Amino acid sequence: METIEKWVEKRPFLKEIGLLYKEAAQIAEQALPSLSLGIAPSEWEGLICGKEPVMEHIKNALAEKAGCLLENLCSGLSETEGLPERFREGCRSITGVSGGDKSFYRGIIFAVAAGEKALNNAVPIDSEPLARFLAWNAVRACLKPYVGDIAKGCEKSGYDKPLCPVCGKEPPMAYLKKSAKGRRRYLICGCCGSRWLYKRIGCPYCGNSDQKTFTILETEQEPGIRADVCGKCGCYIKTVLEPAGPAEEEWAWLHIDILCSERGLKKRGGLLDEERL
Amino acid sequence: MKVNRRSFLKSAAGAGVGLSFGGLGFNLREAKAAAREFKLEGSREYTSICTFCACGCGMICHVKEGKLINLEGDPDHIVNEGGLCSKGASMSVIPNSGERVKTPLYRAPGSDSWQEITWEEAIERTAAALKKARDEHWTAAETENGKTYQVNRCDAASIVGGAQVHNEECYLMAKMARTLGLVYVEHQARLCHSSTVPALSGSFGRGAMTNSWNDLKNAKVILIEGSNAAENHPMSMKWIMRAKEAGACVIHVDPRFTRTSKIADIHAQIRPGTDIAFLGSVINYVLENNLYDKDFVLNHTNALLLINKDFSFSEGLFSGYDELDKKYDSSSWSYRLDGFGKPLKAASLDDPACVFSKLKAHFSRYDIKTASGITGIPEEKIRLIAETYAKNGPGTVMYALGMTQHTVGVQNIRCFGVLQLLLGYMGKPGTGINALRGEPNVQGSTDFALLFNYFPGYLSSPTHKQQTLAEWTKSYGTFRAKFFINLLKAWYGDKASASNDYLYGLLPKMNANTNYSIYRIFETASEGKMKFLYIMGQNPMVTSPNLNLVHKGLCGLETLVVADPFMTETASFWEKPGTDPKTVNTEVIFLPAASFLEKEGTLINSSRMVQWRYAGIDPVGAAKSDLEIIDLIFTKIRDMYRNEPSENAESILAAFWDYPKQDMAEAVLKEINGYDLKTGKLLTGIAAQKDDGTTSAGNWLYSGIFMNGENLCKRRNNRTDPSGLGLYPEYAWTWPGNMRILYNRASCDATGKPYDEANKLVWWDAAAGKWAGYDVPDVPAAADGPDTPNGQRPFRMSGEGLGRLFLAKYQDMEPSGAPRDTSYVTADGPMPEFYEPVESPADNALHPSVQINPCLKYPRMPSMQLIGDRREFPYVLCTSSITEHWCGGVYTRNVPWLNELVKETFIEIPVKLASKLGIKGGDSVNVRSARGEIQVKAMVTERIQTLIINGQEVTVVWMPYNWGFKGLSTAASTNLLTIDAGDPNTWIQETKACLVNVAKA
Ligand SMILES: [Zn+2]
Ligand SMILES: [Zn+2]
Repeated sequence: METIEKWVEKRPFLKEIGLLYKEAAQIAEQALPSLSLGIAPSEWEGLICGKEPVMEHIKNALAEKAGCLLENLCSGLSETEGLPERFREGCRSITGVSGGDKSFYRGIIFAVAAGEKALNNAVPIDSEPLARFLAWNAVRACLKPYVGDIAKGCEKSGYDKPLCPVCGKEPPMAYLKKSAKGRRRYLICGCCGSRWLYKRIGCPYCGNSDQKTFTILETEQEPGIRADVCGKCGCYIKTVLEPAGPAEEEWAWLHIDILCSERGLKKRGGLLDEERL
Repeated sequence: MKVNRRSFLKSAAGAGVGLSFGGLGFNLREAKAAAREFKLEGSREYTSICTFCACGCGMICHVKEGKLINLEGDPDHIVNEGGLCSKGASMSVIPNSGERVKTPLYRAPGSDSWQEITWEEAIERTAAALKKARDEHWTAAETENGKTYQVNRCDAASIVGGAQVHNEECYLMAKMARTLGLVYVEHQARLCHSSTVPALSGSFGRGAMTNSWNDLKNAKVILIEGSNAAENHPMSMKWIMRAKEAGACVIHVDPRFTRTSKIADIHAQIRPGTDIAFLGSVINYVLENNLYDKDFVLNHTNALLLINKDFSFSEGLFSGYDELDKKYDSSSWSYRLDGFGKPLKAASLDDPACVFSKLKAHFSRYDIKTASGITGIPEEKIRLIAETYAKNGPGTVMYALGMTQHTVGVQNIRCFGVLQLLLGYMGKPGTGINALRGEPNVQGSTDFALLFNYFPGYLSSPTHKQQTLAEWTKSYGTFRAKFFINLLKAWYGDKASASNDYLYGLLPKMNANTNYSIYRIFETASEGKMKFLYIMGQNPMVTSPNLNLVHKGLCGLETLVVADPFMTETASFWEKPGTDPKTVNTEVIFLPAASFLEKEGTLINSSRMVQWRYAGIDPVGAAKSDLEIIDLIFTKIRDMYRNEPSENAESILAAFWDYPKQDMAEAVLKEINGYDLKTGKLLTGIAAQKDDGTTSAGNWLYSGIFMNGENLCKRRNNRTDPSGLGLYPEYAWTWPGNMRILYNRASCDATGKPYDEANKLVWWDAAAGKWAGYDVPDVPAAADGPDTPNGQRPFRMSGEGLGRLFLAKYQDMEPSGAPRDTSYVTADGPMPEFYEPVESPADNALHPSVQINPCLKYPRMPSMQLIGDRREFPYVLCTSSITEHWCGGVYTRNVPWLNELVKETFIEIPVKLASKLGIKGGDSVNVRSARGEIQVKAMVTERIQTLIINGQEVTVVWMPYNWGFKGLSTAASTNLLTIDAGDPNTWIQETKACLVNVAKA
């Protein structure tokens, strides 16, 4: 948890959001032993070979485990001092309508995992975005122990698509990682947190590979990240150069999204929309 | 893998619809305010390809504000997978170096300094000098035996260079040179791998490396001979190590124990220049012990074909030898033919008249004891190597200049051809002959024929005896004549038509009896006959043998033009220590060339993979790409002739030459790929070329590099490899037609069934009625099955369609009676025979009366080409390169880091000799040959052991050759010592074996 604290210490404007992720991580950590999906490292390669996102095959197990965590998140975060009142109020309202029914939470996770537009009918319309947000955070926490296995499975199976192999979403972020095979690029799913190897040069959104049309935006204040901009579709992907701790989380780079948005660049992928124009 | 993109996209939509931190109640005012304080700066990345050996490693360059700030190995590259050697990794220095020449320079005759000039003046001077040489020394016609031949040629102007520049630059240079009537057109390939092309094309039909870097991983046994791959082709080690991890055995045969020997399972120290004796004994062992692949030999080679009764071999000489001319009449090296001109076939391999029996008889003299006596390799080690190599296939061969740079260079490599055909190690994964090309685009500069004897695509240069295209076709066949017509259409455009013989008549015609190799450029210059020399990206004052002769030649020129990113020893030859500039009347024009990181275009690596280099930074100072420079020179000369019409200008004025300034490289590449002239569309491949003037192609081999408008050499798909064999069919593009492994038809038996089902490349798909596979099938026509003649031509680029154990004189005839294709015949025999190097410490143990290659003509210039005697020069000198420095050192000696790693020329002396001469490591020693003397530091080594040759002790010493008197690191040039005696097929010099004496300074 210390790393989140250090992160926001250097970037006080992220204090409130950092608190949210710190608390959520703590809640997840307490629940962790009961969250196991029971998928062996070697199984991922086979799962990824499918024609559909892996989620199709694991959504039942995931709904079970992440449902429990979602319940804990709603109740825990509603009591966290320092979070915006509106946020806490939303959490309370979800807890309220659930009536303590486990299947209520399971239903939300299932709907999110299955990519359904509407959530559980019982969720008040005003709380729906929050429920969705927390549901993805719960899913991400459940998949976190498998992130390394998923990346390996992708490499073994030759998965080379620009969409998340697990949940099928577009990645808002990437990181470059030094290895015996050079600095390779991995894409990061902003929803379920999966990572997978992807070609080093090329736009994951429109498929453009004309090198003359790409630019890289960097800023002195944040040397650990850059935005790789595609001149063809006008989108950018945040690319982390020193992947570790919060640097691999999308929320930690909110200010970079704001910066790019003000430059008129288009954001794609991820859970949070506000910097999209 | 197949992914249903729609099912993915369904879930991709609506991830975070309506979600935002703001919406969740978080206050973003502070974050927005903070972000406003940040300043965004732009930069960009581009990919390039390393500029040293022909591994063709990928690099990613990062550029900010026009400056290269980082350079790293490309992780998506199929050869280097993110790695780079010490040289490649240091290349960010090049565009930032203070040593770069930034403006054109002029050195007047007799002057002791350079003066800066404008590009306008530099181009004007270059064009004027070239025009003067042409106009004053033009040979319109020459007479032989009373008959006059039109030759349209200038023997007083020459071009050297190309292995460092792009395909498009080589192509335009070849086009310019030939339309100007030049025949002295040469480059580094002459000195490094010229012997490879005839040896491999004679054996198989094509002159290139057969397999690929990636394919090395599929081998179970790897024979590395005459190559220090670990140092000179570092990325090959990645794939060798992968083979080793899968259980492969590595054999290294070399005069020294090197970094390559370190990773080998078996190392044999061989005396330089005795490879034929060694390989001959391995071949003999395979034959004597029936270790050959009988099915392969019977079906895919010429083993059964019957040889002419008049063929013989005795006491070191094949039939047809003319002692006076030192030349063979090869007519007895032929087949017995049937009524249709096709070779007669024996019923079995036992027929004494068939190729196989001739081969067996020929090599029977190479018993292991004899070979051991000649080579110095212990008998038991030769036996171990022969056993290991023959019994553990698939086996592949890797070789480099240790094999090529000999007066028997071609026959050295021919031994590999014979061995691989016998063992069936051809056309399959993990087999073949991997000629390790040593310069980044030496395959391309060879493909594009910056060599006097070829036109682009290995079309033989016309000689005075081939006055018309029909006469040329009579020698080389209709198959290649079609490609020649396409070339002429690319060069002369609309002006070339069937009615004017496609303007073939305008081309320069070599004198068929003359050697126009690079050695002759300097020799004729030193005699005052060569007036003009243009050099791009080559540094002969360091890399050519017998440097005193090179220097004399440069002093004899009227004009020398050098285009290079850095000042070279060649351009500043008049400043060479000990030379008085006042006595040197050569004018020198230096053209600052863009480095490889500053220009775009293609180059082709040793695996025949054509890759695109992007240009991410502008040329340093006023430097220009060679492409732009060539364009400026040609258009300037054309303007001069337009203003002043002249008889010798017809070809220049007829040439199509109109290239856009923007994206010129891609426009030239399109001309190379070729067009359908009726539709204006780019040709889709070699098969789309026609022989009626309705298509054009600047190099037939490169047709198909564009597909549906896409430049295929820009492809970077490193994930698609359905065979798992490392073919990567969607990564860049290979010639011909994207084929990855040449002769892959030979990976199947006669019925078209793969010999190895688990590792199959291609196969006959009877249901579909065509050849299919993971690779592009190497067959004449995809629909011609095993039951047709075309289905039994695994080596379809040779006249016979078979692998050639014996290089018989043969022309394949069409039913019409016209020659379709002609097989290559080596000048010095249809089978390899061992001869001693010109300077040798030993007598020829096989035939004392024929000591050296009987076809060798040397000295060509007795006063400058002395031959050392073993009594005065008792030690054998072998030379080569090192990891940290490359070739002439123009790049690497301007990189401080590399200079720190290896500072200067040195000599490796075996411990035994060092102690005899009282030399310690670090001592200065004098090394002297019949041609020169230099002083260098000694390195006393255990890596070379004294050999016992035919009962006598023989000592080998070794030196790197990469230094000269320019650049940030200067030291003595080893090539002052080396000999320029050359192989009679390609004139490649014997830099791997000459004699020297060594003494403490
Ligand atoms: Zn995902
Ligand atoms: Zn794009």
